[in-house]
Amino acid sequence: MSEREQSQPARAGSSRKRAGVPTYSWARTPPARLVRSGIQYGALVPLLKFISPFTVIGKRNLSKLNGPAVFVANHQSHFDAPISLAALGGRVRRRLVVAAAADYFYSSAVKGAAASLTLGTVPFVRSGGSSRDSLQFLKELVGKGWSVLIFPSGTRGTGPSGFKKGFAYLAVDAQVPVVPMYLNGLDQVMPKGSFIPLPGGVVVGIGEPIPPGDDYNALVAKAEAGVAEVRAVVKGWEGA
Amino acid sequence: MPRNPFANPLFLPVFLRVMLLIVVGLAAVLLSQRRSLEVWRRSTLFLRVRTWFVIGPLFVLAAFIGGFVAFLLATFVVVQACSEFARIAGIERRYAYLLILWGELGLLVAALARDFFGFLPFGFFIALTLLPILSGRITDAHRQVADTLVGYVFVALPMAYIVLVKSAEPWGLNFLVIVTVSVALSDIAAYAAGSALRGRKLMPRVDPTKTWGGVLGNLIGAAVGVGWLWVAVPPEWSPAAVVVLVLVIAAASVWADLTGSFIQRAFRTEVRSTVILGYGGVLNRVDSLLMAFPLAYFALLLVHKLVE
Repeated sequence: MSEREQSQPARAGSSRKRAGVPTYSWARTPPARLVRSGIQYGALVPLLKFISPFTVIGKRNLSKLNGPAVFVANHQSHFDAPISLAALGGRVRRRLVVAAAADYFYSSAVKGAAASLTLGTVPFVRSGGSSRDSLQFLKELVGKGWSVLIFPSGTRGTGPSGFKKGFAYLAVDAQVPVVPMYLNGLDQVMPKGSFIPLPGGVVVGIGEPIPPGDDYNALVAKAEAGVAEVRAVVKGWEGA
Repeated sequence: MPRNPFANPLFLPVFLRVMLLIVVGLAAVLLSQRRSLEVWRRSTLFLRVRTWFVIGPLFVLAAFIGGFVAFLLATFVVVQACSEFARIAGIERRYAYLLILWGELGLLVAALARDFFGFLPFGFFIALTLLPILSGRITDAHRQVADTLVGYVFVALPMAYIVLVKSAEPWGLNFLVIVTVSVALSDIAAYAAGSALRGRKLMPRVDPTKTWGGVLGNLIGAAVGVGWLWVAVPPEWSPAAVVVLVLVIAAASVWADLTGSFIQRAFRTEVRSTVILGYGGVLNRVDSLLMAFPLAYFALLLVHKLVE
């Protein structure tokens, strides 16, 4: 458990399990982060570069961040999270959690532990009252300096629209910027319903950070526009 | 087993020549562009030159080190190129997986069990036809089988040939280096000459961009490539064999251009990949080599037989 997490003993019990979903706080302790770094640098990133060599556009936008942020991206494939992590680079990745569907990635303890350890995921309940608990938990993590990667459409096979508001609550309430990202090509590498990747090149576009403001709906609209803008840049670059 | 490349007296001369070629190419591009560095740095041409600075030394090192290093590079090419072909042709994923798997198997057989090399195409045909038979999914299966077979002959089998020739022939490494560099130069010279000379279209219905000026570029590029790496030409190759090699490399490069074009048109897709910066896909980069390599090898054998 990190120093800041240890400094909040009153919440420790509740952070271990929220609404029946464990939070896997051990996966954010220094030893687990060290193991995760080793796995990501030593195996995950090289493997991804072999299977899906990726090109990152707009990485210089990350230098405009000086604290935690909420990264939002279109969702096409189970490869989205690993490729995003690899594209964001070590500096961002070190304190980044990925909001992962609790009903899918945390359907068993082993699956959940593996995802938490290797990718730094946290369970996110997608529907019902528990999703508020998930958001609250993410807010707490942002408050402790963690960035969050979230796929706001909630399911795979979507474009840069139809975003749900959860990420906006998170960004506005915690007053952290939203960084739009667009992932291109992963729908062909591993589309929904497929479990073995078909290798191929991928482009990851990173947009300029969007200030959170104080209007949830406006932030959702800005984020959708931001992702669409990055998409246009990626498509234009690809066609060059 | 991997070898120390410096132990081979050919390594340094070839490595330096390849690097010098890239530097000269960079200088030529810079001089011809006459744009500010900032504008040029963002251009596709910059990406291409940068890519050559990676591909060139990587290829020479992998070829001379051999063993699993060369195998890894060949594996990457097979996996990516077969995948790209599968996408262009609209091949179903299970057929695409078989294509990739058999491509990998071909590399292993070529390196470790050459006696079974002749069985590879027939074995692939058996495995391919077993897919619809065992799964019972026969709708559109004839098209899937046919297109996958094209992918195998176009991509996977020539890659296995490259490994086979390199490991089986005493001059296999020399041949690989000479043909690869000459094919690359032939492609670049075709682009440059085609842009500068233009001239009549070669086959406008197949490829509206290819001109006779480009064909001349192909020939000049192939000749310069073989001449530039003359240090690697084995003494047992007769002058006639070298001339035939140049002609075959040039012809195969033209053939590869036209074939790539008609395949894209036939499948009516413009699948773009981003694996190699500035060039798009791996297949786009290696298709000429894949077509030139077996053809050049057998042409060389034929000339040797005739001269004897």
